[in-house]
Amino acid sequence: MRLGMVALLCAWASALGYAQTPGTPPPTAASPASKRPPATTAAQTYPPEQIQAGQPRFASQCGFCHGRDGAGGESGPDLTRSMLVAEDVRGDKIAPVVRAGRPDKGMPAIPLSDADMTAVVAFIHDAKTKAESASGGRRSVDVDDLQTGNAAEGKQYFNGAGGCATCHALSSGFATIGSRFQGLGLLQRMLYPGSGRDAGAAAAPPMVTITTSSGQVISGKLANRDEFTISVTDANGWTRSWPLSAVRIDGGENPLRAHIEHLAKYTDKDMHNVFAYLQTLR
Amino acid sequence: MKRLALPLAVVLVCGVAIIAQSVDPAMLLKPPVDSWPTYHGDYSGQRHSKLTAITPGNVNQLTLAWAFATNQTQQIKGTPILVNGVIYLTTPDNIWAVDGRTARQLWRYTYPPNDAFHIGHRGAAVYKDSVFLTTPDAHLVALDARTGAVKWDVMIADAKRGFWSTNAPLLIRNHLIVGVAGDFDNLPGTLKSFDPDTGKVQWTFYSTPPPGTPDSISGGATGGQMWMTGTYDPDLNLFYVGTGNPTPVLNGEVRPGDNAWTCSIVALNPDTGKLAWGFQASPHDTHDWDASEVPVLVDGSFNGSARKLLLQASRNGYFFVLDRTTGKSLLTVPFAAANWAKGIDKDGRPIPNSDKEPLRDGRLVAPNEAGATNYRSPSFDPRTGLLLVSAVDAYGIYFFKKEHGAYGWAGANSSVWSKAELRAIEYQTGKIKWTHELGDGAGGAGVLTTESGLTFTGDNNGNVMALRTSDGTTLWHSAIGRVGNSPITYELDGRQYIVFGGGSSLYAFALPESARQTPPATAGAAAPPTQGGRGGGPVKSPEVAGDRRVTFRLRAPNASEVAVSLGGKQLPMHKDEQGIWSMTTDALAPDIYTYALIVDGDAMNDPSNRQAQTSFIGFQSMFAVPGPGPWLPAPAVERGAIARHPFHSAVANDDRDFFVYTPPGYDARREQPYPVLYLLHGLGDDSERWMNGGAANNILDNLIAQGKAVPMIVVSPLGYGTSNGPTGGRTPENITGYTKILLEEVMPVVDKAYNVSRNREQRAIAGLSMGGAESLFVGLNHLDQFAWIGAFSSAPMLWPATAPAAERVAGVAPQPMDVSVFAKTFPGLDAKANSQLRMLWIVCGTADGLIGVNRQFKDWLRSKGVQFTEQEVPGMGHVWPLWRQNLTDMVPKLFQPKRK
Repeated sequence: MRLGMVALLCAWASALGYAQTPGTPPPTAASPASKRPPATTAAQTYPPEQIQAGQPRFASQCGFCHGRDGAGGESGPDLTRSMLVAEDVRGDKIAPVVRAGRPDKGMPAIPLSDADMTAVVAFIHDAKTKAESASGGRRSVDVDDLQTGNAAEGKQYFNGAGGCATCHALSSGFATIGSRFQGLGLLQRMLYPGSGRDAGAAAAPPMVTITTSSGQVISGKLANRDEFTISVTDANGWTRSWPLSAVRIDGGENPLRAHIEHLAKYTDKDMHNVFAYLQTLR
Repeated sequence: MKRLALPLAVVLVCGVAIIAQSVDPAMLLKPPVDSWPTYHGDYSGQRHSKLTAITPGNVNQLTLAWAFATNQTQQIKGTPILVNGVIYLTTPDNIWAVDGRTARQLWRYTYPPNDAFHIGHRGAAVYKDSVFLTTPDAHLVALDARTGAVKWDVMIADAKRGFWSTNAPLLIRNHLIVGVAGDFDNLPGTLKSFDPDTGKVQWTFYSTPPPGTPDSISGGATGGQMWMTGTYDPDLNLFYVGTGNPTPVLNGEVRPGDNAWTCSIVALNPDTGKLAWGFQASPHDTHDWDASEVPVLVDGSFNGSARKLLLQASRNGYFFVLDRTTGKSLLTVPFAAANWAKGIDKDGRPIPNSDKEPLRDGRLVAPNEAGATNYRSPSFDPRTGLLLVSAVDAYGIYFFKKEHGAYGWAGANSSVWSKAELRAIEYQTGKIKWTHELGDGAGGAGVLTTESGLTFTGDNNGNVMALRTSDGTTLWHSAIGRVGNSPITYELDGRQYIVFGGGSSLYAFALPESARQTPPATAGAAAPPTQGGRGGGPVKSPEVAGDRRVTFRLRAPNASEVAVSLGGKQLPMHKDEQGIWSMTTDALAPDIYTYALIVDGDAMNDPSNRQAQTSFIGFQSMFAVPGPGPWLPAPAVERGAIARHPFHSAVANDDRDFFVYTPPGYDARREQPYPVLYLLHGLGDDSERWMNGGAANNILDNLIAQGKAVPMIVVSPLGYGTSNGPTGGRTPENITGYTKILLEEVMPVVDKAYNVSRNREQRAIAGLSMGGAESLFVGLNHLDQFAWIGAFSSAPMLWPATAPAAERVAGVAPQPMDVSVFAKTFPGLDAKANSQLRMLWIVCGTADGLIGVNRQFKDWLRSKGVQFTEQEVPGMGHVWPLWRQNLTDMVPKLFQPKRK
């Protein structure tokens, strides 16, 4: 019992800490989808035949997710507004991501030949240049689009019916959330931190305490859990796994559970009102 | 084996040196077990195999038979097919022919590089000696199934306009039906039938006719692509397929109306491509919710009549049951989070809530764009009537503004959160019978069920699992990597294989060859090192479900064989990965049941169950299946109380107890004292048995509530006259001692402690077996104390006068008694008793070994002129159900006023 209480407190403290302390790494970028695309850091030009060669390669390997024009598809981000693309110089940032994939985000590794990679990089930069000169992206959501809520009503909901204030005290980090996230990124973060490309990091993994059958006690960050095993990263950074049936587990609850439960409760009006209120927290 | 014989004979006659089943259309009507010859395995789309070699009892021995690595980065999303022992596996641009026994590659064909989307591929189709592959640039290629050589290559639709294909074609007679995808552009929904021999187009069906076509009913919408493989009913000659979302996708303003036939299920004549009927799952869709999911064909009863049904768990979160002859809706009910509809219309279609259409400031919508389920196949298990669906509760935000335009996607959206669960949907009601969590995110695996009661699927953490179909319990798993396709099964050389795609490899599991006949006795040896019965917390057992099926569980990781002994049968239990054994019965009739668990041959009580029938030496696990019945607690009935009275018996020189039932509303100060029934148990029982196994309190509560019985006190004392319990039960002192204890030790306490009458007219004594003999012995010898006597299945040979003592043994069929015992037992009993007896009831089952001695005693009573009522219950033995019924029948007669 005692163990359970301690672990529970740990998880609770972790959830609070997430909200209150600046321990969360500061987001590197406000929502690119909500404003003008970030300017390319180092100007680059590519020969037209390279761009032309990149177009079909991009379309067949990348287009379903990122759109044939690179401006976002069914599941992949708009590359013309991507910070990584903005900072890329001749594939130094893009190529490693393409070759390794982003398995955690559902992007497979795509082993392009060097020639194809160069062509695809050229195409992406060209697509970005074209998008910068165009107005109103085809799949964009602008900050101005989201200004339909009432901040006062949102505040009331936040502190009252919504129950948000139960976890989110307006001290330190959370008090300035509106200055750190804008537009769609802020909305996504509000609904479920980590859900959007521009919604900042997900919540820190909860703490969990494992008691093995021999009585050994290990505490650490929950690294993974499924029906059969649990993995924990200890204070020294080592990750270990146990079969669920062999250990006792205390803690590890998702600190974002309240966000999940809230998805079924929000009306669109409440959602926009709370969003309006969060924008005022600067 | 029978199946082999015929082709062999044909081969011999023809003199051709191959032994192969040709995939002709007739074979697809009834695919043999050594094949999975088409995308869904057969035309029904049930993905249910009749194979039973792998069972809930042996599935934990599944082992890897082979693995086949494509060495590509593309995840396997397609269903492999298997014919002639050869597996045909596809990814975009690629098809492999792989030996289904050894995983050796026979050939591989790679389509030339092309620029269309390489998003995924569903699978191949086979006809005669051809195998067919659709390509990213929407071509259909026929290959020689033996070598992979190209026979012909035709265009299905123009890739330059934005069409692509991932489709696994479906062969119906000589029609190869092929679909395409294409919702990045505003393109008409296009489905074509090809001649499988020549590649000539036979017909084209447009779900949304090309713009400008007369009679189009799509309201300006394009789209509605049929990118999934359909199903087919040979009797109705109808082909069923789901259609995709309309285009532009999120902009609904430019395409008013329902946009038929997008997001629909359509029934087509496969010979002509003509529409027989359509049913729209999502009228005027603005969320990308293709209704492409498998239209599963089921012949089953619905609302009491046999129907030809079509089931679809649709991407929009609703489960639909249609009459597949007419397309009329029979049931529409959500199976996952869905907040976009404001009701169901008269035709069974959800009515979209316009407030949940994508808007400039965003709308929070469930499900998200990926949907409440997607292309991974569900499975229908005919044995349980369950449709097993990889379901997702998902939320997304949807945006649309004029600037997004009216072409292609035309809007913006993002997913917020989702969680996957395998859900078991009861097809007649849409109720979710059980769920099995698969992890956060959308589920990636399809489902397969087998006739042995197993469900195979994968979770979001890279595990494949075997679950018990009846309740979703995990029985086996293997961490092969994330499953992206729907598993299949087939049998080769008598060995059953289960094949999953994990990542970019194919894995086949089978039982170990040595273990296929006899499972090893040491199955528990590999269990995790937890303490039996302790680690991992309590289990719930038994669990009586609302459908009156009962699940038993026992944590025993080291046990080899566990069964439930119930109703004279041993029902095998099956062990899951946690070492928990379980089994679920069929629906049981409402009643009280006792049972035992048989662990490696030894019977034990259920350690998780505190409900038990007591006896003098122990107890037996019991449970009640609720429902109507005289001894089951009726809902909302006022309940009486049970009190235990411990005391020291000077007569027996032991510590013992008696139990007292007081009726609801018992009033200790009531002016009119309560009548009292002394109720006696049988040899081996204890004083509490009538209250638990006998359910006397429930019987009294129910009869009193119904006004059939007068409120009374019931006293159940321990029925042994010595301190030796049942062992002493066969000695002469047993009943004499007992009589003394009752009259001198129990009754005075009862008379004092309770507001009971001391009038003989208000006292009854009844009992079963030994208790029946005691009731007769005490009652008939003390008519000054008792006016009501009941003897249930009584055992008169236990009377003290019986000699020799060996004859007192209450066997199954005791010897006939020496009738002189009766006169010695009841000296002076004669017709004079009739005026004192309000009731003398003697009842016994005809299958009870005691029926003979009961008849002897009744004859003796008749010879003495003593009147009694009797009942012989045909076919009943020496069992509790009879005694509960006896009590139920007797109690209403007790303490009733004399008829004038």
